[in-house]
Formats: sequence, C-alpha cells, structure tokens
Amino acid sequence: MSEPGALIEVHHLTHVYHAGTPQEVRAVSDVCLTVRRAEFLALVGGNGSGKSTLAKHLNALLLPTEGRVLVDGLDTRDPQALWEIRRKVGMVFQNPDNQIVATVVEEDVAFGPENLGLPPEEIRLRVEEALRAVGMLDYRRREPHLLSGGQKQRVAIAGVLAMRPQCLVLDEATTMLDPEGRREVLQTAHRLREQEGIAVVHITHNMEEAAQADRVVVLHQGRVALEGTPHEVFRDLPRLRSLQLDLPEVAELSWCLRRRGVPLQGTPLDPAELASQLLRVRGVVA
Amino acid sequence: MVCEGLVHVYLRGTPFEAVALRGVDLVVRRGECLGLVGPTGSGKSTLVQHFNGLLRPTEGRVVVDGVEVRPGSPAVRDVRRKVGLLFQYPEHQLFEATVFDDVAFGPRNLGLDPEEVAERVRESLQWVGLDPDRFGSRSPFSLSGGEMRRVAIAGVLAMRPQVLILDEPTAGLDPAGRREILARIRELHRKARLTVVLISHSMDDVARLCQRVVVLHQGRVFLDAPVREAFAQADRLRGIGLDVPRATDVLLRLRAAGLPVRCDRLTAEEACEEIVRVLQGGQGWSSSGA
Repeated sequence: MSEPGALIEVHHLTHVYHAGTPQEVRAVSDVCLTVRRAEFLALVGGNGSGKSTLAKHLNALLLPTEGRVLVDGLDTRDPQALWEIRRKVGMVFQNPDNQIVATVVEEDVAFGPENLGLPPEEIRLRVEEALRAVGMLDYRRREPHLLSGGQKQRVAIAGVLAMRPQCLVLDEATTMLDPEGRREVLQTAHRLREQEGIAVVHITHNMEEAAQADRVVVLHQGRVALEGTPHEVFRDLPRLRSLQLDLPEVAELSWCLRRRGVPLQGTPLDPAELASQLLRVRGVVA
Repeated sequence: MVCEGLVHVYLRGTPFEAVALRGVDLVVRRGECLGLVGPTGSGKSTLVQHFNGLLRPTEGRVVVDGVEVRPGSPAVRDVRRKVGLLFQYPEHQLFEATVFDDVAFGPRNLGLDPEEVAERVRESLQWVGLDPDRFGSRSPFSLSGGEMRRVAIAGVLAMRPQVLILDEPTAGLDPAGRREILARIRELHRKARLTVVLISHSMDDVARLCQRVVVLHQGRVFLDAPVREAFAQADRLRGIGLDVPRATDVLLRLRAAGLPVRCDRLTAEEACEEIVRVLQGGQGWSSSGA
C-alpha cells in the first residue's frame, strides 16, 4: 500500500480536540496525504483550517483520533517508535524567542544529540556540520538572544539538523520574521532539500512562499481542498478566495490578464516568467 | 505632526550606544494615509514612538497639532489621546476577561461615566467589524488571531484619536484576516477621517492603502514621495534591500524590454488594465500569435 518514494503517509486522519465535551472540535477530518522523500511541500490554509494540527501529527506531537500516520514505515501510535520518529522528523515553530533553550548557540544545537547519548566527538562534529549548513557557524559562541529573528530560526533548524532528520517541518516558522529573515530561512530550507535530500513541509499563509514549493496542499475546514503544483493550485482566484486564501500577486495579475483574453500558458507565478510570456504574446523578442 | 531635525540615540554615553535617528524632517498632514517603510533597523518604530511622547528626542523636536511633545510635560496626556499607537502583535497586550472590558480600559481611565464608556466601546467594536452584542461578553482569548487584533485596534479607537499609527498591522494574519484588517483601516481613514500612519514591510499593503510613502534608511529619510512615484523608482528601493509591489515589477520588466507601459500602476488589477491597454494599442495579440 506504500507509495514509492513516500516518507510520511497520512491515512484517513481525523483529530478531535476535547472529544465528548461541549468544547469538542473536529480540527482534521479524514485527511489522506503523502510527504515524499526530498520534496518541498507547502501546506496552506486560513486560520482554523487544521494545518497546525495536521503538522503536529507528522512527528507524533499529536496522535490520531482516527486513522494513522506512518513515518518511514513507523506508526506514530507505537510508543516504542516515538524517539525514532522524532529524530526523523524535526519541527521548527512560529516564535523565534521561545524555542532556544541554551545560552550559547552551539550548546543549543547540541541539546538534541546530547540527549541521544552520542559520544562528545560525534556531537561536536554534528553541531559544526549543522551550523555550517544553515550559515551560522561564525555565530557558534554567540548568545542566542542577541541574534535576529531569522538567525534564531536558523539556529532552531540547526538543532533539528543535528539529529540527522529526513524531514523538516516549518510550522509557520517564517510568520513572525521580516522579509530578510524570511528569505534567510527559506533559502536555508531549499538548500537543505537540494543538498541533503531532506524533505521540507512548510506551513504558511504567505502565498508567495507557497509558490516556491514543489507541491501545494490547501486545507480548508480540516479537509484537503486542493492539491497540486503551484501552477495548478494558483490558477483560480475565486476558488482560493472561497478557501480563505489569496493568490500570489503575480498569479492574480496572470488571472486578470487571462480573463481579459490575453493568451497565457499556465499560470505564471513570478514577474520574470509573466513578463517574458507577455513579450512573446506581443511578438517582441525578450 | 511635524518632526524637525529629530535625532534619537539609545543608551547615550554607554558602550551600548546606538544612533536610531540621525536627523529626520517630516510632516504628516491632517487626513492623509502615510506609508512608513524601511529595512529592519532603519528607525521606523523609534520614529513613531516620538509622535505620542513615548520617547524623548535626543535632539530636534516633535510637534503634534501645534503643541510640542515632551515626555513628562502636561501636554503629553493630551497628545496620547490624539495619537493612537498600535504596536506589533497588539493582541499580546489584551488582558481583560471580556472584550468589552478590554476596549473599555482606556475610556475608563479617562474617568468617563459608564454610559459614555459603553457607547464608545460599541462604536469602536463596530468600526472594526465586530458585533458588540456577540463579542462584548466573550473572552478575548477565545477569538481568532485576526479578531483579537481587531479588538486591540478597537481599544485604541475608544480613545477617539485623530491619528492612528499602526506598526505591521497585518503581520502573522492569514490572507482573509489581512484583507479584513486592511479594509477596516481604509474605512477608518476614509469614513472616520482619521490620519493614518502605516508601518509595513509589505509593499503590496502600502500600495493598496497609502497616498504617500516615506522610506527610512539608516535613521534618515531616504525617499518621501507620492506612492506611485516612489515605487516607480525600483532601483533606488532595491538598492537598500526593499521590494517594489510585484505587479509593478512585471511592468518595469516590460518597460525595460521596450514596451511603452506606465510603471506607476501598483496593484494586480491596475497593472492588468495597463498591460491590456498597451497590447491592444499596438497590433494586439491576435495577429502576432503566441
């Protein structure tokens, strides 16, 4: 039943908070989803769409009310597999100020490997490798609270990398950052995907960021409402609006132009792509 | 609101001394909607905290509605009432048990009688699109992020300010929440006739809302121009690490390739009209083919 290349398989996942009480909320309903090895997947949806609840199932921070989640073949409901699952799938959260535990950057990154009981030499090696991978090696002896938001998030990513994971889940990890911090974090994630083959699940409501993913999954009211490449998902403005989302600005412009009869191919998502198509339409050589 | 030669140095005379503003001259006119943009650390937040007397100028002066603002002077109370300042993530500052009490906090501190307070709370909640009967008795912490932020804005509006300064009001909201907040700010500007200063990293938000944009860079005014002129200077903006609205970016590329489009179109709809106009004005696309 396993799809080739699948790293995480979510089968008919339902999650109910406060089951059996008046506050009962069905946050995720019958979701099926596969995260493939080394893919960059964007998970988008409005507030209350269930995206964070779903994300917390990817490394057993939450367990299914119904259905199941397999991480590299391990069932998240199996307590014996818990540590292995958390090592394979690491998460970085929204607020850069409350994920860092140590007073020196390299000690923070060492926290995970130390808990694995690895020999000191191995820990040192992993910390160095992880900080280098996120471009923060020069800051190894700094105090984390003096770093920018983007730098703190990269340290948090390094903490995950030191566990040699197969998947990095960014749970709105760019939401509180300024544009520069966002760029730093996203470039880091894209580079890890390309160079280390680490799958990335990026949860965001920034449509420009989602447009850079290999695949986009749209959640709405706890269900998968749309799924496909960014070109497929960002084709239809009214449909996305009805799902409480928006198009990336250039996709919206492409949508307007097509509606006015300009023959565009697909849904250009970035300024260069759209401009070159328009020049071709005009018969001007780009 | 006027700043003249405004300089602000944090922790002057200590090893941590940092110059945030290096001589800012700026006039904010009554009734305008001004976008204040700049890279992180350019001094935007420092600047606006002078407008309601939270910070004292190291040099220069700040005048609001004809009165010089000096922290500690009696006039400051008056200025704080006139100039409502909303920090980033203002919902972190909600603390009362109900939405009503939270919005009522400011007016009660003014010593207004309970009927007047209730009236102001109703009015403020309506301005931000929250039904006072439905939301008044709820806990602010049971609301969505976008709703909480609107409650925080209502708390400022309940002081009946003339100026509303918003620091990144859409940060962290989902697209629906963001659209809602921007629509409410537009209404407060147009219908309630508030003067609005919008600090934002989102050039698309500034383009949609503001008439004038002031760009700060390293504690100085780098550019002060009507919004359309400002964003047509893409090279200057990019030079200091800022973006232009992405629709404008498409137009700039077309123009660079020789298409006679105007580049002072800022939103997707405006850019679309401009491109269609130019394509149809030429031989169009039917004859040239794709």
